[in-house]
Amino acid sequence: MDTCEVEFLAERELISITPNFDLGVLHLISGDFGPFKAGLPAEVPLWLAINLRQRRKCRIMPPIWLNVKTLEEIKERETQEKLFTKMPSEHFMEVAQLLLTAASEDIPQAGEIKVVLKDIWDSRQAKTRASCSLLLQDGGKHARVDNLTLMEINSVRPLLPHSMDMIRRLQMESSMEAQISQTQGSSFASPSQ
Amino acid sequence: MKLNPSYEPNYFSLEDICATNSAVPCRVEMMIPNLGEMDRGSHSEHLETGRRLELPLWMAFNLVKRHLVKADCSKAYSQSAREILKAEPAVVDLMKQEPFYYESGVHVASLLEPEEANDLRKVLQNTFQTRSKDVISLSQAELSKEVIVREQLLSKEEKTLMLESRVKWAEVEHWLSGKLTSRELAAVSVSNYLKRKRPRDDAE
Repeated sequence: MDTCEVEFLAERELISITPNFDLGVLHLISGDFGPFKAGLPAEVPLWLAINLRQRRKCRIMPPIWLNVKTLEEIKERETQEKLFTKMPSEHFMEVAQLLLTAASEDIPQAGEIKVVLKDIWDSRQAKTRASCSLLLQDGGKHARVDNLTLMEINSVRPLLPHSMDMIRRLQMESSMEAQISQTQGSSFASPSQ
Repeated sequence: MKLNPSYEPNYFSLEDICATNSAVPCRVEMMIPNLGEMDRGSHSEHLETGRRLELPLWMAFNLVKRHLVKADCSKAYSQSAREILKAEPAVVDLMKQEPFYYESGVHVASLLEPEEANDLRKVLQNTFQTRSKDVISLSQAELSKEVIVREQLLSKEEKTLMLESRVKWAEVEHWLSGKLTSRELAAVSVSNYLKRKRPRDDAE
């Protein structure tokens, strides 16, 4: 999966906007949105919000977690805990990234938010890398991936599954050989050539 | 995306062709008539019992199966090479020993006596596991002289993994830095989507 595909999935998240236009109900595949009234908050998918924002038809209300204080708390927890902590949204990085590029004027302290987000991301990436090498080295067969977001899972994707595949192949060959020598030892009658 | 599409020597996989092309020393167990010219050193007409020669893996498979020859470890997988790998897997230049070290190793193991084969398989697995840490760190490291030197130690399999991961890593970094605009993203995903689609019939 590509990064842009993950971003595409994140664009389905709902977000509040304050429109500056009047419009009836919008019938979209994901459901009906609206009616819109100027000045009254409404919930729409993120992609629509960004589109409207780019045409200056609305103001985006950032999600409650997208502020410096909450993110600092999350960062604090993330650096203290050994395991991954729960993120406010399954797509926190994508949503933040999209909003910060398209509607940075609607978000107070956008610059600082960016810095904190990057810190959170980096510390989680460091954890991911450490646990990946641990998993591969110890020859583990499974891992718990609680609280990992889709973007993070996707970032280890070609490497981890393919390495696991390689290890499995090397293991498979030896277990196959063991089976064969076992069956040869027992009274297994092989078809004669 | 696929690292290795086959789980057996595959006629169409280039990796498999290369991996099964490496030579193993063999000892002829039974006289093979009229094939004396396979051993370039001699001028006899037949391949006589006891003659030692190097055969490519793909040929050794079939001859060993018919008990015509007995295979031995090639130098890359010999006892001493294995001891080195057991002691310090990370610094061995696998590329120099055998480009597809693991792939060929698994094939070599299938030709050996069970005890030696199991030892070789264990060594292969341990080596890969220990070196996977390096593969991960190399894929995310900034390019430098040291990184390039370390890269050259990787076997082909490891290198494929490393490069795949590096591409992914660069993509995520690129996305994070916000350099990809939504229009670019759309173009990238459309072109990827088209790649996956079956080619359209032009006859319509």
